[in-house]
Amino acid sequence: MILRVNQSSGIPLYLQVMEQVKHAVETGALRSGDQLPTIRKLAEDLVMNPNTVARAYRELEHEGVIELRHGSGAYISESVGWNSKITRKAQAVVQSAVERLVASGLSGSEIRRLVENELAMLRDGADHE
Amino acid sequence: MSDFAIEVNALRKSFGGRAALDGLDLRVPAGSIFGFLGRNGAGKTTTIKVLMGMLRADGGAARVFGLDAGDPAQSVEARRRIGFVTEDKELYPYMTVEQIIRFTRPFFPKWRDDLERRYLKMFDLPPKKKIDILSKGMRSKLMLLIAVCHSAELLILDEPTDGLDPAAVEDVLRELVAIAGSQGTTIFFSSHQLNEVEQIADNICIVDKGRAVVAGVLDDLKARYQRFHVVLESELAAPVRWVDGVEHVRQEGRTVSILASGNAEGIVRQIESLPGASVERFPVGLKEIFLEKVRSDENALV
Amino acid sequence: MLWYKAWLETRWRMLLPAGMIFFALFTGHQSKGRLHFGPGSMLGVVGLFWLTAPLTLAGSGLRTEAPFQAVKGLHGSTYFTLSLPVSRLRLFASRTALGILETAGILVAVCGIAVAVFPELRGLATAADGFRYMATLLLCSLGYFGFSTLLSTFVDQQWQVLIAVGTIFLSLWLGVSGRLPRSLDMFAAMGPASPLINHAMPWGAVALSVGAGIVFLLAALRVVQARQY
Repeated sequence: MILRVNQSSGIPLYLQVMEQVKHAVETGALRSGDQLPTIRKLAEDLVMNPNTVARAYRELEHEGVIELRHGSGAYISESVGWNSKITRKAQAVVQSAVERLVASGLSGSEIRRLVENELAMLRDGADHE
Repeated sequence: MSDFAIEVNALRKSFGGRAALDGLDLRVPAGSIFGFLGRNGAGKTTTIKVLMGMLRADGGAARVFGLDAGDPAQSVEARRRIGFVTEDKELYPYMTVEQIIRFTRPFFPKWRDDLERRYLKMFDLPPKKKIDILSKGMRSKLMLLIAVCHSAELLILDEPTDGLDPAAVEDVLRELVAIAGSQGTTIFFSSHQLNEVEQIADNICIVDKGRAVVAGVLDDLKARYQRFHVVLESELAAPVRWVDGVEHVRQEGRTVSILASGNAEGIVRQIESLPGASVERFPVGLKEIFLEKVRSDENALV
Repeated sequence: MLWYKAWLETRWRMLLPAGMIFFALFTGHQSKGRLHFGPGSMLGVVGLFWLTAPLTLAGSGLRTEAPFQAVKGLHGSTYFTLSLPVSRLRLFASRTALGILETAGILVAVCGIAVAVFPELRGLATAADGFRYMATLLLCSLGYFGFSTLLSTFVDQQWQVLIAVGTIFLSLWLGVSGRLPRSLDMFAAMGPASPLINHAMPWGAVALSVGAGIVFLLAALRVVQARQY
């Protein structure tokens, strides 16, 4: 994992580590289920204090971004997609589209059919590469 | 069994009327990497010598692993578990690298032969060369090798990277981090290189004129300390009685610069109560904290 | 390993005393086996030269630099030594013990070689008297050894040797000028009153030397233990 921390900025190092992990998740560099390096390995690679790395991992786990699986290490959470900015943006798009469709008189099942239709066409389009 | 590898309470030590230590308090958590900072003559080396049983304090208490550093027998016991690098990196000039390793090994039954081989190679130390012809940098590395190889629970290092080039410094820092991670060794080091301390220390203490002026978890200190740049409509007529948390204030015309160690909300509220004040907030690094706490500032209003 | 370190520190110091004693015995050989004493004679010279051995080999185990030369109070490597898990008593004891062994070693080796190489010396005395003589030399040196060790705890090595040599001449003068009773005079014990002549051990002088030696060594040990570095 490529992280860059600036130790002389006034920003606590563990926060910088957390920020960079979260950023990696948002941009897709890290995906759900990806394994993070062990605390010791990351500390050695970055020449950082292992306690600081451990604190970052603990906080990330607390926020639900990663899971610490006993014995095997740290992994990006399955549910992390819901916290990413992209998903939040997408959620906003879906919300406004659904509101507009409902306002023009369509039912829930009609909207669902429309969406699935659209997705299917995308899929077909991709298949005909 | 203490959670602290080192505990110092109200330590006092004077040399010929001059107080080198004037009520120093220190608590080094086990398993931490602890940066001990201060200007020359602030009392860092004196503290280290008291911990190692070389100096006897005039007052207060110093304990290592719960053992009394001032009691000769307990100090010997503590030193079995401590790896030490001295300030001037002097070893026996008439011995070779090989000889001094062979000399030191029997004192420490848990000597790590694997680490010895690894560091001889990594630090490029010539086994058959006499110590008196080695450079200071090489002696630093040799002392570090000796300190690390005896599987110490605590490393006390006085300026460990002194005399080393940047690549060697990085090697040393990486090894220290690796040792801390894999063996849970507590590392207590004094240094003038603030950026190195910021890189690997999780706890720090800044000592000035024989007392601790700042101590705590480094990341927490960085979160607490803030700088506020305030621009006022007009210069302050009367001095302001600042709220708690304001450490240093510097005023130049309509600009006021405040270093705060906490109570950010209270300070911002107080600033906003001043006429026409606009305020910007900046994070504060260790260098700024250090310089503010150890220099007497003639411009400071607080 | 402390003995090893002390050995490395002091091994070359044995050369000068060994050479001097050998030279003294050589003059005895040159004098064609006549035992006499007084300035320039074999026994007088041996006694005097012999004392260079305990002086140069005495040390406390912790290297010092003279406080009144005062740039550094201490040799830097002393901090390394003090950081080892060894009590100061053990540091002191191993260094002192090695010093005494080296001193004894020189005596035995040099006398042995001289007797082998200079056949005239063999006829001078019986073997028993010869051993008594060596024992006298060794025991009489202990006082100076102890004093030299005490000096080493607070002065530089050059000053240590210089002051100790001064003390030797002082005690020589005390004996020669009659201010010291003959039975306690160490130079008499090593010279005119020695076992080679009297066929008996000079117990007075030996006791004085050993007693003084013990007192000085204990004082040196106390200094080392109390000293702050």
